Amino acid sequence: MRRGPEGRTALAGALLALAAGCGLADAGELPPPLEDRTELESPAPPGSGEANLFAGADGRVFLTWFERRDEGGHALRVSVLDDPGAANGDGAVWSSPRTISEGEDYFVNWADFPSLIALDDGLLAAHYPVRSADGTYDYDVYISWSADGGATWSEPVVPHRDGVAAEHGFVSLFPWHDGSLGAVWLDGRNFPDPDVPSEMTLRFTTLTPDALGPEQLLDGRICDCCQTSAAVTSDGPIVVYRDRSPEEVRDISIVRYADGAWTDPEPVYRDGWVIPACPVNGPMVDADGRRVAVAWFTAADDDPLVRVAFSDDSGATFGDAIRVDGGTPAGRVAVRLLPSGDALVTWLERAGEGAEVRIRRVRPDGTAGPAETVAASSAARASGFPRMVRSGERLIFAWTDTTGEAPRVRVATARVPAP
Amino acid sequence: MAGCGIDPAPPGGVGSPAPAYTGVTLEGEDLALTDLRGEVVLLNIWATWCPPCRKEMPDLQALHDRHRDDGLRVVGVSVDASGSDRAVRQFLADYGITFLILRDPSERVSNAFQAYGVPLTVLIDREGTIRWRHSGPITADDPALQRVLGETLNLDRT
Repeated sequence: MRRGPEGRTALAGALLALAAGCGLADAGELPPPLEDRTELESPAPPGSGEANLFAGADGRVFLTWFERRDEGGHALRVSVLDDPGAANGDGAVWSSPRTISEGEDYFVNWADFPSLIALDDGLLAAHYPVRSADGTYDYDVYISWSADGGATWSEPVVPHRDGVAAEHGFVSLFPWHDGSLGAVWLDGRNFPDPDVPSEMTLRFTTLTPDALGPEQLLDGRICDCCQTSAAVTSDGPIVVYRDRSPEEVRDISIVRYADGAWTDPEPVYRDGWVIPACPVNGPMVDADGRRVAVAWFTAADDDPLVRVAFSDDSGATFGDAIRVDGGTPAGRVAVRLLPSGDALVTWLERAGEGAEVRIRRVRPDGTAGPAETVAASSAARASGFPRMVRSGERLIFAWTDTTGEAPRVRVATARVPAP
Repeated sequence: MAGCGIDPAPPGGVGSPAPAYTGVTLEGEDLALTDLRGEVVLLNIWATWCPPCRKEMPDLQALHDRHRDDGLRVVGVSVDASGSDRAVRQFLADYGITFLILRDPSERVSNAFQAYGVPLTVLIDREGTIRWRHSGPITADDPALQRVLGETLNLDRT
């Protein structure tokens, strides 16, 4: 595959031909990205939002969300789809929601939303943002554990130990090689200190229900408010995030855990997007063995794009960026690799007064199938970040519908057509 | 670009007419940009949760104080989510903001002006043409902004 972020592959001619035209992936002979799209009855009630999905190795799919409580405050809830393979519209039922945590101190917001992961030994871990002080953006990362499939949850632990009232969030959880949990997050501990540059940092630690590993700084200056994303390759974990250069270039970077240490940050692709502002539009990564796909939003020169890039060496190098959007994207991407090596990319595309959650299948050589609409939505922040996971041949989608009297998390399923 | 099936670049760039846009004041009244035709409008898209937005608020207030009588209308459009009015009002009180604030939880203003992040500021002249556009926090003494303010407000530059 490709060598270095700006080089050319053996298929350079074809890609350059595309670039000389529209810059879009070529609509070749790939099948449509999904079949039999069916909306499922959502386990989340009206007043819900901040949805996230996780597909376990056993095929079960977990849905988490925040919902408002009648007595005030919020509850973080989880529901499980045990057999997504049966989720063809008949008999696909989410489990009765369980409560991970509830109260009045959560930092509930559209961009920094909770997540859940299932480790190989069956342990579940969930993270959520909790206010730490009176400042509007003083909040901490809380992580709770469940050893009984989500029925009960532990008292939370805080993985960062700075003790500073500042922003800590945009977490990604992933399995660590020794069976523990890896966690990365955006850490604003430097903000209140007048003697230190007010830089948002990327930090890492490991944890088990009984212990916390040491904290480690992965990047000392990154974008303040974009989601991180992590995946595990056969060579080790990788993390992608929106970086921030001294010149305010906010492109996507990657760090990799290789040979017992985290690498220095490297660019996934050099868009050259200069924006001294908050895009609130992070990348997403997926991995399968040594194959990696990263999707992201950029708007260099005020030209909004959604791109995907592939790697076949666990993220050490990437091929050319392939554009997948329809011309007016709002970003908020998700990506999943297929066993064939293709990737499915979802994003929010502005459409008239609203927006649509769209999906497209893309091949590393730049060919792509048609884009299809998963759901109608809105480009407003209240619509949040649409999520997608794959469980075998099934795709599960979650998004926030803001068209009703109250927002509500909605879910749908579809089948991935054979290549 | 149109031949590629991609929509042509939407308005919002320097030299283009300001897009048609109507926001809602904190008092619940509609206000269209065309209602301000004849004034120079410094339109700022912001949110209470955005650190650079918080950083530039004093500069926006300073521009309002400095040039209100010259015909400058500073308009801040908050894209905070629905239900945030109380937080927005508290924010304005904390920062001593007195210029016009509109609310747009559905972010039609971001769509209209193709804002890919916040804050975004545009200067619209008396005829409704965008003369300056800046992503990120502004400073009141930014040379490019000062130059275009001088031109559009017909300030005495001696």
